[in-house]
Amino acid sequence: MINITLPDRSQKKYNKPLTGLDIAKSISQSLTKEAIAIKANDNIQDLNQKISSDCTIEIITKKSPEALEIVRHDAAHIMAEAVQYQLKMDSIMTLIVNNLLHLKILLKLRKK
Amino acid sequence: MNQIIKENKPFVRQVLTKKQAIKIFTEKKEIFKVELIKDLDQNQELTIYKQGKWFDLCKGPHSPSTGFVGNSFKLLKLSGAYWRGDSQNKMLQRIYATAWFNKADLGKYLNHIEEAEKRDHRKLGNELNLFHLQEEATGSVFWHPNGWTLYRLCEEYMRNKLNKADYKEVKTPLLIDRKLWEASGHWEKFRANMFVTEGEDKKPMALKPMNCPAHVQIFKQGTKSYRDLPYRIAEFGCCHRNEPSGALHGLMRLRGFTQDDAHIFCTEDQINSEAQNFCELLTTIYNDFGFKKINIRYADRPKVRIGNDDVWNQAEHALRSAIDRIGLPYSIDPGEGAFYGPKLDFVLTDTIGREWQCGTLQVDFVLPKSLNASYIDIKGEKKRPVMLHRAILGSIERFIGVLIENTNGKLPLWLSPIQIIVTNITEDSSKYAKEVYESCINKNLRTELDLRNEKISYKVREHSNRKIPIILVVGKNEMKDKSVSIRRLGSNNQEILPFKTAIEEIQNVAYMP
Repeated sequence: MINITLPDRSQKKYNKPLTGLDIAKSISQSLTKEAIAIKANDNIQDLNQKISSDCTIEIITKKSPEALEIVRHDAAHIMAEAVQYQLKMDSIMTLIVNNLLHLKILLKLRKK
Repeated sequence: MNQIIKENKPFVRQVLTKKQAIKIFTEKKEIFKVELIKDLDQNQELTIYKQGKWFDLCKGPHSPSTGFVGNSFKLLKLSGAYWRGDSQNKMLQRIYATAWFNKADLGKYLNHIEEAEKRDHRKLGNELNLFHLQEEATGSVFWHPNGWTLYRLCEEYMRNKLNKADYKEVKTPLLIDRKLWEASGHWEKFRANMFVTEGEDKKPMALKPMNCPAHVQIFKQGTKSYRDLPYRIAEFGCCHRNEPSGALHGLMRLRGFTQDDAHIFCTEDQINSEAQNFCELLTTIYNDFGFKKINIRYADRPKVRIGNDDVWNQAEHALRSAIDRIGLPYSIDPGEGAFYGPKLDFVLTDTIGREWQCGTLQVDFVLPKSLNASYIDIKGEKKRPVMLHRAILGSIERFIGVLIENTNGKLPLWLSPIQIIVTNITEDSSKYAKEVYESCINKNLRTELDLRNEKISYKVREHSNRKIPIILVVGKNEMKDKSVSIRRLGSNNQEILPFKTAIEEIQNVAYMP
């Protein structure tokens, strides 16, 4: 049995390991749609990572203070793919450093 | 990017061993990433995130899919960056971008950075001819005449305030023997940031990165009694810290800078009143410099600390009741105090909403002990004083940077390096212009005379661009009436006043508060 404590202190019990998405689905459909990630015992993880032990959770949505950083990180990956595709490099380096306001990508460019 | 976002590709997390990761990134020819992976622990698990076919090494977390990014992002600029920040390595390209949840937030941020760029102190410092920096003295400032005037005004103002608050000013050596840094603990903790050299006797010396150990040496001269406490010594202390060149930023982050540093040696019982006096002094000073919004961050005991709980209780209570009594807003950073004592950090908010931590007040139970400072108490017993480290401006150079950005270069009259320009409309009023100029100078107003044979509109525009607060224009009429036409920066109006009245009005606001 896994005990999941929600932000309002209420508890939900599940009989097998489950993902953040499963938890969101069991709460409401709108939350499922808005969910970006899940905070389990202060550790932010992907919605489809399994949770297999008791913990306190919070579903991260746009409204959460942590959300923007996650989405900026997403944007950095997308930018990296776009750069790699556009420039058709055979050797490229992307290293994503997230600070609060910028995405930074380091690229080693070598033309074919 | 928009296309990838539109495709709404799921982010898929995949766990790899170090060996697998090296293999796939070697195949991808991502040599830098392979280098990073090779530095990791043998048993460390790695994760990659895929979006469609594309993937990258990443710890996560990510949203469910690329669609979450939306369309409120913008590419901002490019710059070169050395691999691992080391100029011996290859130069890479860095792309800056920003992402938000909606267009309104993005717009707000873009306006904010545009506004911040316009008032960048490095740009204004150049336009107003205040200072420059150059490679041959990385991290130290070349102050030009007007910039140095501004610097001296800040220092003089602080000196007056400190005198009135019963601080005694001192000056201590820049070069100090390694032995003292070892005793103070700086050698162990701060060595990497210190500039070290040696004398002809081969003795290792370091440029001081802080003033505290030197101030303890002054306290230790002669026997101190409880009647000497609180013992307050202040120094405009020139410090050097060997910051990495990539971290330097105009006046905001330098290698050579001057702290408005002071130390108060006192008893535990005196912490409260000293803290309260300090907060009041700091508030007055920030207000005089034009900062109205001050936030305090109060940091209490960390897990690892020195000193018993009774002493900590007393010190924490002393700081908190001091800020409660003066009624400034504060937030609490639990456990963020230094190992040697609790502290208050003072944060200014500038006119475009940015926060700058400038002031600090730190209680220190440790340094007086490690440097063996003591006083004789009322019973004739030897006691350890408590030491309060405190600064209001922080670094004078950095504070000037903040001032320039806060005012967009339009410094308040009392801080303007040139307060008044006296200029004539035609050649025949030049004699009168000189008279006006000389009376301003005699009243200790920082004044310049412009008698160039140029159109008056041209001269006025030029001095307005230099952000001179007051321009006194004189022509035939003014000469006849012994009056001046005043133009104030930021206003299109001009006012004609008898010179005597004008100068009195200016004097009322031109001097240091």
